[in-house]
Amino acid sequence: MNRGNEEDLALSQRAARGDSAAFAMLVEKHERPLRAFLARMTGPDLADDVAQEAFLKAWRAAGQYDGRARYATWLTRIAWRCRLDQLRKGVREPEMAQHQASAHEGAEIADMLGRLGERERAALVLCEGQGWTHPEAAELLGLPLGTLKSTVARAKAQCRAMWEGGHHG
Amino acid sequence: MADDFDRWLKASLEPAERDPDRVFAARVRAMVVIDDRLRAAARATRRRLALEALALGATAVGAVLLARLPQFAGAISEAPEIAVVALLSGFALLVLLISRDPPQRALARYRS
Repeated sequence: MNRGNEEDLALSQRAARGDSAAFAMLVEKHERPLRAFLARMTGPDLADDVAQEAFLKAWRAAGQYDGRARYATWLTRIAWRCRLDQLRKGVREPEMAQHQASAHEGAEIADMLGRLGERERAALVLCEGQGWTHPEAAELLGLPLGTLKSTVARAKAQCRAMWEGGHHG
Repeated sequence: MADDFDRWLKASLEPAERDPDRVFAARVRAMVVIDDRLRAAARATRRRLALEALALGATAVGAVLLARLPQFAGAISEAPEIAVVALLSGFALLVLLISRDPPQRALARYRS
């Protein structure tokens, strides 16, 4: 087990015993990448709702984290299930391009991601943007490793085509 | 080898560098505290309901057994109004006992 996992495991075990300060440290450590991932999936407003729900579930299940995987992987798995629940419930969300374009920054990438499917978007964001390994992303998305690799490659190729078709080509 | 697009894609998808969002962390911590209290109150209410159901059941069984005793059965058949009054008094006593700590008060105790 690496040092980061050990620290997170210790904090999670303290959280499981009801130490909310230890859990707050975990939140502060992991909220940035999780909310960035969710913002790419849902837009920033819904992202915070999903992130809060995921952290609440992580608090309730703190004793189940065993340190074998990275805490970020375990937490993102919880958030991904929250996201799928949200999709099943048909929660309305703003168009990806709209909510990001209004902020100008990142409008182009948001537009590209908005044209991808849910899993392609998640695979691309995790593997290209957050440094997840292919096996980690495959496990999270419930895809065979080969399928995950081809999903990332396809998503990347689509983005490249859009990028080259724009002013960069 | 990474080309311009690869570098742009990676830079665009990386989470922006910033300090931890303490406001968000505080919001999560507040949610956790509220969730804990609500779950504790729900547990207490469930336990209370179970105990009350048990007490009601035991009282009902006791009343039935008493009514079957020959000396009581005779008295009941001779003066059924006394039996009704006794039954209503018992019920009123139970209601009084149960309403001493209604769920709202129990919840308020856990919130404080």
